[in-house]
Amino acid sequence: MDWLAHPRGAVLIALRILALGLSAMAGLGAFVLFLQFGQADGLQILDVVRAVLILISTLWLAWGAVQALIGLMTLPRAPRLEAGAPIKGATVVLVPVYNEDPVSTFSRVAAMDASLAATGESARIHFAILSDTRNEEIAAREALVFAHLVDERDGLGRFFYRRRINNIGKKAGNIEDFMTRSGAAYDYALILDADSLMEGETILQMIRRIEAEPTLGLLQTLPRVIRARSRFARAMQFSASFFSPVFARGLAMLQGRTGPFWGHNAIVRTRAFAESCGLPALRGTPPFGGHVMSHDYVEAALLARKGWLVRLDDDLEGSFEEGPENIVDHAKRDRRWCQGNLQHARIIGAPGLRGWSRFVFAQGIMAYIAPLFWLGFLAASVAAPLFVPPPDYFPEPYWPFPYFPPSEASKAIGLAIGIFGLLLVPKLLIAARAALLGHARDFGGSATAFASTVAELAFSSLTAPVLLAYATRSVFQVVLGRDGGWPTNNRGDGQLGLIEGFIASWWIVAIGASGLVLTYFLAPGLLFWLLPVGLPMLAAPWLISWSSKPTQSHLMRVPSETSLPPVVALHDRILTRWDNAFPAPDNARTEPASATGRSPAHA
Amino acid sequence: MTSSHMLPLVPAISDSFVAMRPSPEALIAGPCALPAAPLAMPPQQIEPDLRFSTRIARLLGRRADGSLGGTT
Repeated sequence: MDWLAHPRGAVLIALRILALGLSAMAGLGAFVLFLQFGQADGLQILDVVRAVLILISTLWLAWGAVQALIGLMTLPRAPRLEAGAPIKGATVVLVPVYNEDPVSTFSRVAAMDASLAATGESARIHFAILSDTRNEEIAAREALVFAHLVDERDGLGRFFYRRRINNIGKKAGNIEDFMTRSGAAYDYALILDADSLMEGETILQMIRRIEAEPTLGLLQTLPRVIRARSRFARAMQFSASFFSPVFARGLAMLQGRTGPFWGHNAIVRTRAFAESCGLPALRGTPPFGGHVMSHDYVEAALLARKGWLVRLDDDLEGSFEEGPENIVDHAKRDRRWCQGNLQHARIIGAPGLRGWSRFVFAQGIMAYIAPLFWLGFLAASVAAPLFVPPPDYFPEPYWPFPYFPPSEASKAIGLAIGIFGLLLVPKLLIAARAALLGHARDFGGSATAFASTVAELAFSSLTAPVLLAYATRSVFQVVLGRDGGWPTNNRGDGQLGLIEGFIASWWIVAIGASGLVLTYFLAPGLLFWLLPVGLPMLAAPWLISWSSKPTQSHLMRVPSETSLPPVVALHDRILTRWDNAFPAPDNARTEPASATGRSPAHA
Repeated sequence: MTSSHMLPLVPAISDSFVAMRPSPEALIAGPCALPAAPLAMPPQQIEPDLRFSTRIARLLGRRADGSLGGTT
């Protein structure tokens, strides 16, 4: 089945056509059903507009569902290569940092180095900490903790530290600065984030794979979220651990030679990266101009443009990251990604890009503008009754019996079921396959995994309107020319009170309440259908606060919680020790020193 | 006569051993500074060139190609 797990040539083209064709069919089906429904009381312009909006929205949902269905067809497979082959090239592990807590970040470096040492492999692997830290106090602490790292790991000649005077180009500029200064010293560079953690064996596997395939420019792993504590973070962690691998499998099957780059937990061939990925600032000012914010997608496209292979190897385990602990932190990060993805509208037409790269840019843009289509559909649906002419029960003159237009409500219900199906069925199928293949054992057994799936579906349905509201606001902010900047990280424990929740979401409550009141007066028949959107918006402050609280529920359990991966256990031990050696300044952290009490350090 | 030169202090054999560690700053500026091995990273064209002059040049170029194609 390797031809299907890693399709090429005609099989790849057929698979892409199938995926796009199925999505288009679902969209067109929704379009036709809606037009038939609208025809019942006479087709209005607004009906056509709504049908077009539902076409686009359904197509987008279907595209996600189809990726999962394709991903269900195969299991990840490792490429064939000589196991344990000696590594010839030199590798540098790049750790870009920006105002993160150095104890947390550098202890990860220590854990990865210890994990590498435990493999007994004598490959030349160095670590370079690339600091863009602006805060002088944190910078001073970085120097101190770095000296401790070098000392503890006997890292002279293997560990390097550099702090930039200015942070031009942000993370992409930071990596570029390294390449232009020191890139020639290494064959490969493993790019991490401040919160990345990787098993030594995984790092070695990545080096072996890039060494074995001379055209491979970039190899991306699928990082698993770890150390989630809050309800929100655990739901994201479960989703990333249970559902994402299947979606990623689908993506890997469709990628061809133009796979993704997600900015971290990926290895690049330094020569390929340097010759392909020099990113100039875009003309004009932010948010659409200036430095490229979501540089990773662009770098993947540029590598592919130069003929380098970009590949996602979803079979590689032992690649970890942390995630935001609450909805507000998630929305902040999403604001940055939104701006970055919308900025790609400037790049999508760059000369020489591969068709699939352009498609990936379009997907990234669509991910953020899709809520606008739903919003437009809802608004048009509430307004539609205003434009409907009164029914004519006696269309034939002198005909004594009234004519009742046929009800097409069944079409609308069918459409609603179809749309919910696109959201629910892939996840339920993933749970069913996990039970059949025994993968559910790592998630607490089949029954627990199924209950977790249902709980995740309920949780994501509750939080979706709030997250969509934030995403919609982000799009408007970007379009109106408001630069989101580069917010620093939340250093607290991530728990939010009701007041903080209200401050962050009062406008969502106001929009939700206005929407429901407007619907009550304009289209009372729709009120029931809008409650699943309106009620979570009304409850946004409570949802934000409730979901930020820690939980130790048996639901949404993931393998890393039941059996700690070796490098995570190593990191826990080192971090606890270092935390006591370097107590955090009062303004940086309020938590007691413990590894599991860490807040995520998303750059 | 007393010498005006001061001899450097040398630890006595009876002194307890203290490892000489460079300060964090010295470490970062010295042995832990990034190696100098520059690699060129030329800026790539990442935007379509939508300038009017480029479009005209492209259009003329295409016409020229077309006329050549027609004569052969």
